[in-house]
This record gives sequence, C-alpha cells and structure tokens, in this order.
Amino acid sequence: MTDEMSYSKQPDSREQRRQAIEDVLLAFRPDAAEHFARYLGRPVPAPDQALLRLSDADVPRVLKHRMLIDAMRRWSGDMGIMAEPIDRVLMSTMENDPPTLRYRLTEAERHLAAVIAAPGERRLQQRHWEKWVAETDQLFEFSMPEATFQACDDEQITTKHTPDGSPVRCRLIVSQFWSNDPASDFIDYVNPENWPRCSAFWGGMDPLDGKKKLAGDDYDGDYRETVNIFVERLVVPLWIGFRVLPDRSRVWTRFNISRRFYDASVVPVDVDTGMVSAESPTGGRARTLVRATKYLHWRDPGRPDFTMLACDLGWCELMMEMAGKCRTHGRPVAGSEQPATGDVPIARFVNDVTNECREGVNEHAPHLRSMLGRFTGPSWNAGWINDLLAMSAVTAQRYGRIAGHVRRLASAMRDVDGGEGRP
Amino acid sequence: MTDEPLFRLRPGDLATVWATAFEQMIEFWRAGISAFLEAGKAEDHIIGSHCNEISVPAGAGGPPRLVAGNLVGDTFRQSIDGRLVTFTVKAPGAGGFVVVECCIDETQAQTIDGDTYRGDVFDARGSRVACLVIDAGS
Repeated sequence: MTDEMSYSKQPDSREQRRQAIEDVLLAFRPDAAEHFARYLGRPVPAPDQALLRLSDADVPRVLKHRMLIDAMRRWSGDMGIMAEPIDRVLMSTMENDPPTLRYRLTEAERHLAAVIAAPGERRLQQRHWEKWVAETDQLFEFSMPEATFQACDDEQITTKHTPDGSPVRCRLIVSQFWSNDPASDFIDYVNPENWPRCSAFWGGMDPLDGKKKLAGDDYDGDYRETVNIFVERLVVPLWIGFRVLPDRSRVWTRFNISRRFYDASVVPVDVDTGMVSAESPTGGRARTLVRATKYLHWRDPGRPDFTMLACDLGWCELMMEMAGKCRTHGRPVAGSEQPATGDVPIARFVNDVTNECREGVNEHAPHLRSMLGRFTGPSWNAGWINDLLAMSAVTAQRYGRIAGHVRRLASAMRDVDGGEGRP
Repeated sequence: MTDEPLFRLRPGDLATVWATAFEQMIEFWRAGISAFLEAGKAEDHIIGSHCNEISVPAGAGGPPRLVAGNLVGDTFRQSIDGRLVTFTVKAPGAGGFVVVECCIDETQAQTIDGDTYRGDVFDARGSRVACLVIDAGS
C-alpha cells in the first residue's frame, strides 16, 4: 500500500488530524521510527510530505508551529526541499489577508530560521517556544493559552507503584497553559467523559460499572479509556474522580488505574495516574491555569514503550483542544482570548469584577421577572418574598466572589512589590 | 373591574411561601458567611505538584526540624501519614529563612490512592509554618 492509497481512503478530519501529527513525529525522528514504524499501519512519509499533510490537517495552530520548529531543529538534510512545506504550514496558520500575506510569511520565515538556529538541544525546548512567541506575536496575535502553552516535559522520572504494589520508575508528563477565562468555562473539557469528543487520540471513555453521582457535578467511577496511537488501541481501566468546587473556582479530574478492573495480562501500562485541572491561583499570568499531569509506566518490556510518545501525541493535542474549547483548530475564535499583556493584576481584577457584576445581573433577572409578574398578574401573591430572598442570596454570593478577587489582587500586588509574604 | 380579591392569602399559599423563605434565609445566611470568610481568607491557592518548595525559618545551628500533618486527599478524602513527607533543604532564603523541598517518599506509599494531598507543615515546637499541596500515590 502506498502513501497515496492510505490517504485515498479519505480519513475524516479527526483521523486526518491524528495521522498528520503521527506522520511528522516519525518522519523527523528516525530513533522513534525505528521502534514504531511497524505500528504506523502505513509507510512513514518523507519529511517534506509529512509537513505538507500537516499544513492541510485540522490541527490547532500552536501544535503546527511547535511541530514545525521541533521538526526543523532536528532536520539535517537539504533545506531547499523544505522551503515550500514550511511556507504551507506557516500559511495554514495565518489569517488570509492577501495584501499582507507575503510580508507576514517572509517575517515568519525569518523568525523561524532564528529559532531553528537558536542554541539548545536538537529539539523544541520551552525557551525556543518562548522566543518564537515573543518574536512573532505581532504576526499571529497569539491568544493567552497559545502564548503560555508549556508542552510536556516528560524528562522527569519518579517512583510510583503498580497495582500489585511493586515500585517502578515512571515517566512524569506535565503540560499547562493560562487562560483569561474563568475555571468554570473548562468544566466540560476537564470532564474525561468529553475527552473522546475533543481529542483525535481518545477513542473512548466508557463507564465500566456505572458512575456514582455525588453532589453537584461531581462523580466517581471506573472507566475504560481507549487511546489510539498509530494502529494500536491502548485500553486502560481507570478509576476516575471528577470534582467541581461549589463556587466553581476549581475543577479537576483525578485518575488512577482501576484496581478492580486491572488485568496485567492485557493492560499495556501498570502506572497511569494523574490529574487534569483548571483553577485560579494567586499571582499567575492570567485568571486560570489549566494543567495536566500524568505518571506513566509501560508494563511490557517485549514491546516498544508507547508512553515515550504520550507527550508528543495525545496529551499535547488534548490540552490545545481544551484551550480552543474543542471547537477551533486552525485559528482561535476572534476576541475569545486577548494576547498576553504581561502581569497586570489590576486589569485582571477589573475584568473579574466586571464579569461578576455582569453575571450577577443575569442571575438576578429571572427572580426579578418572577417578582414583577406577581404584582402585575391578575392578582398579587406573597411569593414575592421568595424572589426577593433569592436575589439577596445572589447578591451575597457575588459579593463573596468579589471579595475573593480583592484578596487575589492584594496577593498579586504583594508579589509585584517583591514582598516575601508568609513562609 | 373584577370581583376577585387582590391578595390571595390562603393559608396553604402562605405556608408554602414561608417554608420556602425559611430555607432561603438559611441559604442567604450561608452565602453571607461564605462571603465574609472569603474576604478574610489568608491562604494562597497553591498548585499541587509531586514536590513543593516552602520557605521556613532556619533552625538554630542546623536544618529546621519539620514534620507534615493533616494530609487529606482532595478527591477521594483519604488521609495519609505525614511522616511519609521528606524535607530537603535546597537553598538559604532571605531574612533567616531557608528554602525546603517537600516530597512524598513514594517508595513507602504503595497503599496510597493517587490524589492531591493538602496538609500543614509544623516546626519542632508544633507551630504551623506552611501549608503543603502534594501529588502522591498511584
């Protein structure tokens, strides 16, 4: 089967997205291709072809940029054959404004060359990404999540225990970004039941034994997670706890290998634990930090360790899909996120308080409508007391949240002043 | 003009209104207390990690003697023994403080559910000197 034949099947957008990411990874990393090419299910494409497919795929533009920089830092061949694929990838991430496109493309090429030549290892590192964002922000107008995205640092190794209690040294993967949106906006995306809808790598998150509903949106349950990498389906039973704080300022999912459903003879990993969260810490770069942490250990020494690809494949992609609220790929929704403006706690405070007031007015509206209806209907009734009390409770809750914003502002100003604060 | 009374003050309606109002008063009171507490809340929000760095007063003539306690999992509410937390002095801090790294000794944690554990750090006199948010277990 040739490349063309495999693509002539015309995989859907989601499948195309996954294949494009996988292709670039193997095309530019001979070390990985040596182990994983036989699991790809199609020939490893030539590097220039892999980039061309990436340009056509519905992949978040941050991933396109990151993969392009990583690929070209690793590339030691003829740069001439890469010129067109590089342009195509860059153009696929730009606004289509013909009068300025050529100028912007030339500028992006110039900055890309500088990032490729920057000191460091022959792969993308965080400082390269920061350089790229700083120098090309005017060209791409990066959103807050894009500008602050820190992809997985899977170089850390730590000890965890397998379900049978054996200690193993496992890989720690951390990925995060900041957002100006409140943590409550990420509830749907932190909820693992929605990961298959967001990510091209998640094949399923199916309940094994019914979930136990707790207060509010919270639940616990055993789930069968299916992750597709190449033609492999990695199926792991997970014990999941999903939580939302009552004031919705923090939402998180904790997952561990389900001891009840774990079968060492078929499950490919023996450590799979971690957390995905959205929360609002003090003194951060923006309102909400969205963070994913995962500890992984591959069980089967007879097969290549797929966990070494988890960071480059599904985990990064899931995070960027969350940043785009699982609806945008090539370009962010205009105005949904403002560009990074540095640490401006006062602006953040004003924004937060304004949002509280706006949301408070919206929450008052149904009670106010109901109360007026009681006076303007065919007769009055005493239920207006309940409407008035409901509005009072909304007011109290909103003032509580505003108090929280004042407190965060004070903490941020203390940090700006360089105070040591409490231990 | 209608002959219907302007106010419908049947006892059943009034009972419903005031029973609901009673619940709402409790909710209002709870919201007010929460708002009051939020304004006075002293804790910073700390992001959990597999190790934390805290700044504590340096011990007299040696590293500070510290112990962790009150560690409870955020998600599954399991309590763990504070003695599983190890403390390593990383660097001298400013003004007589030292920076200490706190980690869970995972080799001793085989029965711990994976979770983010929140608790306190106490000095040799039993005074609380910092809070701790640490990822542990599997």
